[in-house]
Amino acid sequence: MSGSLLVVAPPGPATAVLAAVRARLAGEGWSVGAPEPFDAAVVDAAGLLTAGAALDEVLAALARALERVGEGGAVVVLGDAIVWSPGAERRGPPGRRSALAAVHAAVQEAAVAHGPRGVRVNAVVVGGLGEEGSPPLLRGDGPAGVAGAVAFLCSAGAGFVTGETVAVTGGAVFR
Amino acid sequence: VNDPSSRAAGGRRPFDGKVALVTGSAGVGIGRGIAEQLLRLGASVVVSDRSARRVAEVEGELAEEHPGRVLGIPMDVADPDAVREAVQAVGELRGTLDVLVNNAGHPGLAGLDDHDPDRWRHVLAVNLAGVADVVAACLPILGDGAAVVNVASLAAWVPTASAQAAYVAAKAGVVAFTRAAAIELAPRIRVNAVAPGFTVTAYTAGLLAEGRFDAPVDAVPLGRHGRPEDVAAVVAFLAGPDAAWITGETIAVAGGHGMRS
Repeated sequence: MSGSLLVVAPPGPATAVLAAVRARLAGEGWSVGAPEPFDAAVVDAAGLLTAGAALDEVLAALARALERVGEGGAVVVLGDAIVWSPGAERRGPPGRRSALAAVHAAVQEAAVAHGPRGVRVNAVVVGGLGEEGSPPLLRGDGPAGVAGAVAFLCSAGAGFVTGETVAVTGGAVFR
Repeated sequence: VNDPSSRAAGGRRPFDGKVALVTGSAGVGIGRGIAEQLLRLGASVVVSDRSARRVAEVEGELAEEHPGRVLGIPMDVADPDAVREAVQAVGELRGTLDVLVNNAGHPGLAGLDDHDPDRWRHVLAVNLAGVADVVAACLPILGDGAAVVNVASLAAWVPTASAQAAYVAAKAGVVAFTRAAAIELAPRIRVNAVAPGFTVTAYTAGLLAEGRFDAPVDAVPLGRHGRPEDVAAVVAFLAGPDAAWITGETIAVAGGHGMRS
């Protein structure tokens, strides 16, 4: 499956994860940016929060993205493993962990609200990539791994997966 | 068929040349769906189940469409000696395993008001101890980079029938076992699970019809019940290269029913 893809991310250079996601989906034939309504959207909530967006701005960005995805489409929200890492609040700005938790709740609300029109909404908890936090159990290319998971969640293979949060952390963080 | 995971550069399929063992795959439900999906994606599949007769039948049926890539090996996962013997046969006939799917299970509907200790232990033996027995038996033949996928259940956190306590406890055990095994076997082997919600098979449709099971479709945000192929697609993802950065995880395949916080 491929189609048109909306990417919602802060302006400026893409993170390694977002660059890998874009490259992977473009390689599968997804067309980024048009036409609308979109067949899928990737909302980099963790990136928006890092760039200084307030929680209500991130939730509004998710709501706008959902409106722009057509029937049968898929939305994938990128979170951060800090949400399941008590004590890791030192990473990132204050309030980041609670904001991410709210984003995950919003993903579930959206899955219920948009399920009847066949739109699936899922989140990826990204982790195990940096120097901080627990080391991953696996060895390998973390950003490519995140991209693989996002590609799957956008695909028909994930057609019965919605409201779900998938840990893509190399085993660094469990729910 | 439109799944990008079935497509790869040069027409290669993601599981070409790979060998998979799927327990509980000679029935009418999820296990058989998983075997069929892995075959479509190129794998050689060892079909396994308790009934030697059913294994032989399904081996024959699947081999018609996928000649040379189907092997049937009977195995009762509740019997550790039988598991060791069956896995030894798999190793002798197929060599190294790339994918192990622990799907064999038993619904074990039994109420606490009618508690039978032997039945309770049997449900745990099939659904939980059997998973550990098969994983342990397979360790010598699981190759580097192999993937284990366990079939847990949404019931691990959302019991959907009464008289299901043993099954629910066992499936919650599978979710926890999946994490523990992921830690123990990393980085050589990834271990993940799927948690299907109510999935329509000939068997579960019968339970619904008999009123032994309640699965209101309006509790499912996507507005339908699951199908074996829904689960099989997620199993194939977790078993394959796109899940290379995922271990210890359980993915619900339930159309949004019973979401975890």
